[in-house]
Amino acid sequence: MIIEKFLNKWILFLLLIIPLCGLVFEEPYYITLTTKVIILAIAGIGLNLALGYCGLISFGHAAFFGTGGYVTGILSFHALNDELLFSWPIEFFGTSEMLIIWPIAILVCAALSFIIGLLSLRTSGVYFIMITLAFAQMLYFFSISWPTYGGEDGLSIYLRNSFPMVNTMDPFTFYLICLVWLVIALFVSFKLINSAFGMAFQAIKENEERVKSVGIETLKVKLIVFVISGTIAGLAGSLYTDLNRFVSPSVLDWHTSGEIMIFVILGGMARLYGPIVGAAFFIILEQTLGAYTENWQFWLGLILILEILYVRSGILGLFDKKKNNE
Amino acid sequence: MTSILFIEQLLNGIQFGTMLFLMSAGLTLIFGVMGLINLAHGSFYMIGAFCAALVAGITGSFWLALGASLCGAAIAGVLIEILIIRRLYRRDHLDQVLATFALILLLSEGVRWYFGAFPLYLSIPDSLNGTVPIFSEIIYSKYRLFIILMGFLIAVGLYLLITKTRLGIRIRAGQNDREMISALGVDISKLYTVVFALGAALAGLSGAMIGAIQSVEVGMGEPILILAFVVIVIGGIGSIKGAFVGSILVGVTDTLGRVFLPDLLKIFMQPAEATAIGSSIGSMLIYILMALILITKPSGLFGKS
Amino acid sequence: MNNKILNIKNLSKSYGAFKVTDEIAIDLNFNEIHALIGPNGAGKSTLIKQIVGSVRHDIGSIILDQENITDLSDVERAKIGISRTFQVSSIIPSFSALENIILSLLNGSNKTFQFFKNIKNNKDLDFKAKNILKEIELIDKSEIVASQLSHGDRRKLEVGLALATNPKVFLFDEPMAGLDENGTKIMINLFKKIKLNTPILLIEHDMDAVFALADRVSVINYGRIVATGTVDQIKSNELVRDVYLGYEI
Repeated sequence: MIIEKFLNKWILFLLLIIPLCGLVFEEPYYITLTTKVIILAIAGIGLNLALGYCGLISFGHAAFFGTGGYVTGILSFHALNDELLFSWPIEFFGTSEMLIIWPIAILVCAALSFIIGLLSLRTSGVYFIMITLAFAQMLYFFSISWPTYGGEDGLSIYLRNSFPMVNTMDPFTFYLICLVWLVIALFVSFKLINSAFGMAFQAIKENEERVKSVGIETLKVKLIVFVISGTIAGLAGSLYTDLNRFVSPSVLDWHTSGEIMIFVILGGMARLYGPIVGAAFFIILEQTLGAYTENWQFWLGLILILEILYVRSGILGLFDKKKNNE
Repeated sequence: MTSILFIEQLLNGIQFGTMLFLMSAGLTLIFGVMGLINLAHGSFYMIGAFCAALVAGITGSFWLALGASLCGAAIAGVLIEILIIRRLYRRDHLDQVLATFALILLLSEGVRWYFGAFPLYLSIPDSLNGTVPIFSEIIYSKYRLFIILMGFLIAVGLYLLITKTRLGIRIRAGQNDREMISALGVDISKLYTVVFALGAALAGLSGAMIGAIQSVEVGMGEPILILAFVVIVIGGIGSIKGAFVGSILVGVTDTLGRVFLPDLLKIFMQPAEATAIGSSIGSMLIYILMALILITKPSGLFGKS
Repeated sequence: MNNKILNIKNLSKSYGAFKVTDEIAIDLNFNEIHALIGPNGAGKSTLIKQIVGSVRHDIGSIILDQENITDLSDVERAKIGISRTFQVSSIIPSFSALENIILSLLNGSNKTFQFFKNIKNNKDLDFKAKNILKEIELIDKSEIVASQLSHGDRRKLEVGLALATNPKVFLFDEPMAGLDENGTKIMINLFKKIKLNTPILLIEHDMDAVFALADRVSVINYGRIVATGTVDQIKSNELVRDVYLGYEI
């Protein structure tokens, strides 16, 4: 436990120091890379609530990540082209203000995860895994066949959306914005898992029947967790579009769902900092393996299989023998 | 005119459905008997297609290529089952999902490494080229008809295998009660390997047959894998009968939806708009179908609740 | 009629041709322990499941405190005041004994949907939970993770979880199973105290415990209630002797 806490501090330290070095040595690449880690970690923190703490194996979080991304892309696209998005109840031409985009993305993703959650939570086990996957695929195919926003080719927004008083095109500024969101996501997760509600959803993971028998409406609890989880992932998606200034159907692809899941598992499930470690490890692996071989995914697959077959507890779990022995 | 088009598309849907059945039969068997979610099932589809393309390139024979797809996928299935999969049977669904997802990365990348990134082509033999008249006015592709025939033959074969043979009895016993079957003295790990290889072989065969009308490339197994999952969720996981009904349902719905929905919408919409919306909704139709079925029957049409 | 807090009539459930419960009528008075005995597979646990609502019955009615709860779901029934223990200990393994009890207290105190207050700082819940731990004699082990508790302690915790929901009736499914003499004694004393406020429907194989505790006993066999009466009536009933042929009564 002590080592894990020590490690957690190191992770945060690295997330601060690497971009600072990048700033000092004028290597914006490292700032952008860290920003990417942070954004993916936020998505992982979202999934971790549902998957790690509540035991809801969602294989469709790309639906929320991608929708957050597309909402951002579409709003910004309309603002860029000064094109009417809808005319009722007011005329709305999209926006490129992050402060307006975020609440909209959050609302849309919350509504979407509410609908998907409501339908999916009627099932359990394998059916839940498959139905969440299928909903994400449904959106994926929709994004491919809907021509207005680029279809298969994706949608470019050219300029990052703006934030009052600062220049978001500056990598370090955008990194700071994402860092603030990471801290917020961590804070929300931390508060939730230590609350009465958190107690209920963590108990559901272990023994849902018991939780029902003490009179707690487990379906309602699971649905709320699912919505919060999906919304956080959606916000990460919004930031991801701004990072790349581009959004394409690949954010809705099931590989994205799988990768978000990998961040959570690699880092260690139901550990607050797990997704950050997982996302960082994933990106480091991608960068280092990618430098040596084009076929880095082969080695990634191999490492993952070995991890699942032999380590099981994730990277942070390696340092926490107590939980390991359970 | 439209009725001819309709029948033609209906046949296309059935053809698509029978191929889906070859995929989903293995998937549902593997889940039913071993309790394993195998995301890497699509990789056997790809491996089968590549084996076929390789053998066809060397020998020039389509029939040898089909045989190679069966054998190649089965051998790959046995190897992967022994090396990796059998360690996953006792794990929870999450571990299975992740490990087999990782397996996809590994196998896809491995195939890309060996064969290169360019698609390969597998040509249809002359005897199956061209069209054949059915009834008086309807002309249909010989090869697609051949696929439908093969699909139905294999469905019947599977049915006989499961109901009439000793292996089938063991498979059914394994589906009902895993403890009992090992108590009966059946070598369970051998049975698991055989079932896994059978599933892989069926997937490989369908990969080769589809490979001849599309192209043989890395990642070709993924879209069909997801459809196969939709099929078994609709049919009820573990049920072969469900897989068959689900396959045809999904194949027909998907094909007809994509073709006719835009036309249907043109009745009360601008043509351009109708095409856009129709094709978008058409591509989502089977997922909507699945959601509707699961809302009314949470464990599928033929699933055990 | 009015002294009946739980009244079950004509409860039937069958799987195909097999009747697991067959026109069961059983009731529970205030301040009583009503024991339900019968051989394995007689339908005792299925009856419990139907009363709590986790298994749906085919026909019949269940009335709790003048209210017909037949159509309510399992969670709704638990909220209204039916609390059960499980035959095989069903607790939250990674929670401490104290946390297990607090979880059980959440619903009653409307805390389930509190999202941001740290539960560990809630003095009120902590106090209530510790009182229950005292009652079940587990207060020394309140910080121990449930999966590390001994079998006997888990049985106690199981009862503690039921207590914490403060229900109208208790359904205890073999609470003494696997307990040593001392453990059984603790349970018997505890149940005598509980019944002063809340009646108990008790399924139990330990006949000494049943005869020491029960005000009334019903015997179930092949899904049917074959006899109901006081301990003495049941002991002398010949039909019961047949059911328990070879069983020392």
